[in-house]
Amino acid sequence: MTGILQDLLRQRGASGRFEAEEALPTRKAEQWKYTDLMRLEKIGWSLWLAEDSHGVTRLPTVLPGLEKTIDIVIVNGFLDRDLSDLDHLPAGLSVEAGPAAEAWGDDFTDRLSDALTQEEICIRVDAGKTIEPVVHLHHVTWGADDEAAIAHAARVVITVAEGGEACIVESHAQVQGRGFSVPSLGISLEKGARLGLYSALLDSAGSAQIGLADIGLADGAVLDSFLLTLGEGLTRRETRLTMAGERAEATVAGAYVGSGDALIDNTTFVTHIAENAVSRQFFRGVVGDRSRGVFQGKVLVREGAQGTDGQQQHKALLLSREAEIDAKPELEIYADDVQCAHGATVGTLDEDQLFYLRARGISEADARALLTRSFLAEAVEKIGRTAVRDVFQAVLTARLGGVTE
Amino acid sequence: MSLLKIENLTAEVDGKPILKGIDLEINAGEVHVIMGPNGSGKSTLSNVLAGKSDYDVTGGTVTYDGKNLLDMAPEDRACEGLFLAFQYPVELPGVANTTFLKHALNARRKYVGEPELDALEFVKAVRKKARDLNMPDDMLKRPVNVGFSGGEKKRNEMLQMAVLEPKLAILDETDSGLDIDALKLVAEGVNALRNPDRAFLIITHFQRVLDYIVPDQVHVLSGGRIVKTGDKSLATELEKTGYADYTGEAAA
Repeated sequence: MTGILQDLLRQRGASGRFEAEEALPTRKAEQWKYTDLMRLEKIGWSLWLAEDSHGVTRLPTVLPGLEKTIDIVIVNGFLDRDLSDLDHLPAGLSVEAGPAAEAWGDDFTDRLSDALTQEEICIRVDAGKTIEPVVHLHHVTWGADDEAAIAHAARVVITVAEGGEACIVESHAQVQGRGFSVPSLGISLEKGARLGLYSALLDSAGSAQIGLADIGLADGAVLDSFLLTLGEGLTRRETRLTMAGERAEATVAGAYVGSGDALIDNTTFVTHIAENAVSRQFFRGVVGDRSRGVFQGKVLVREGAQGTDGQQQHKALLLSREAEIDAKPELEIYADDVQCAHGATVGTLDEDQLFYLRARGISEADARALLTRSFLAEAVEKIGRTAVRDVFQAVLTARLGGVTE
Repeated sequence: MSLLKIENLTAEVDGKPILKGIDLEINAGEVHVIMGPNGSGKSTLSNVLAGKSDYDVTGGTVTYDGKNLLDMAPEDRACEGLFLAFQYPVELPGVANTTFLKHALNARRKYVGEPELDALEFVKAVRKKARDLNMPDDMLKRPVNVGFSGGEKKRNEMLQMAVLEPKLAILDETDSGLDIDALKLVAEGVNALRNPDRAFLIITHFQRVLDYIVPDQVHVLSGGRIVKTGDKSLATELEKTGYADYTGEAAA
């Protein structure tokens, strides 16, 4: 029996970096210990090809209230020029699409991304330029009908040249049908560049997303990033961060809400190479119903990366008995003058806090919602751009109405 | 008519009997004080009245404003105008004090069929009440009780009481751990709210709060029972003799 990988490669007519009989990684693989991909196998995914045409005419409003944006629309892994604002780009910003180069590593996710990616979208912010409006990357899945199961992979390569600055929001959602998407983001922040990168992963039940973000920071570069994961299917995001420049600063924060049978996997790998760089990981999650949350976070401090400040925190709440959290924080340090810490806790809502709210007249359901929202808000508050923070908070609040016990 | 009537109330925690038959009647407009040594059941009584689930009521009845209090969920008791000032107020990280107050007040207004308050009016009203308690505006914006000193937490309880304007306020050792200025502010807060429709049950370990609040009745709670009831002079007497007489009686 050939597996899903061979099937997708055959559809593309390409070979890819897979062994002839290679199957999806199982839970025996350390990186996939908590995330079972077997649910992908039973579905006959159709790989979206360059010659296919979609029926998206209007964008779904996934982030209501987001300020004036430059929309870049990617349907089933391909840049849609008609739906995107390519004709009105501000000076210093360019967006181009071309053939994809290879991904950045040899892990399964890199190879999977290479196997399926057919187009690379390059976004460049020129040196010294500040792009004021938010750049919104809309990733949408479109299938011919609700039953359609579309596999696609978009690659976006972002370069912020020396001293440049931009704010990019990416959203992932379905218009119709379900998707198996493998989005990859390659980001290079040159000397003193600043990027706000805020992602909303909102795929519907029955969808699966295995995403990869590979981010490098040069001297004094600053990344402020946030991952809001409300996906109802399987959503994994690997964030690979390389602190290559001195005094670079990166925040990788995130919040997630699992409901139904969702599986939400945040996997991070931060490598400190240069001296005096700061990385902050701050994740909060809640899982209800039968959903599962996975956090695998690693900070590696290489020899010579003196003065590194690497912090990592993951806290999660279990809202039901059948929900599950697996957290694996790791620190690996080869330099002696560093400040590194990690913390991981899993708990339930505090009974004393609930009673306190109820004793003030707030119903039990409202008290639970309020405490859950506040718990996650501590992560959302990390978003540096106020307007984006408010929109993400509103999306999260709206979603929490649907969390069941 | 009595606002609160407790008859032969018994309750236990983890199978251990704590309240062993409480009888107490409080009329609207009255201030009652319950004094008693540690372990006499003071906090158990206040928690049972507020509806905390860790306490099992094993017998007796509690009638509040004509209704069976023990049948009601904690939030409904609060919406019916029962307020407990906590001995140990809980911290709520991520919940701003004003947000909390607004939710609490609107929950009650919704319960009694009144429209929700205009946000601006609400903030104005709360600010004024906070100033009366000598609380800086900053404390309203901060998360509920997070990083507050013991005295600030108690004042925050009094602010909630002032905003929610309860029919029956139970103060569970609100006076403990306060310096004299803070104690006066708390007492002023209580006195300002005193009116013919409202009653207070002040649970305390110390007589000194009665220098500022004049009660209608003073009860001594010991061994899970009210062993003596009197007027203000009973408190003064207790100050001199201590609880030794009563603990002895309860043990006997």
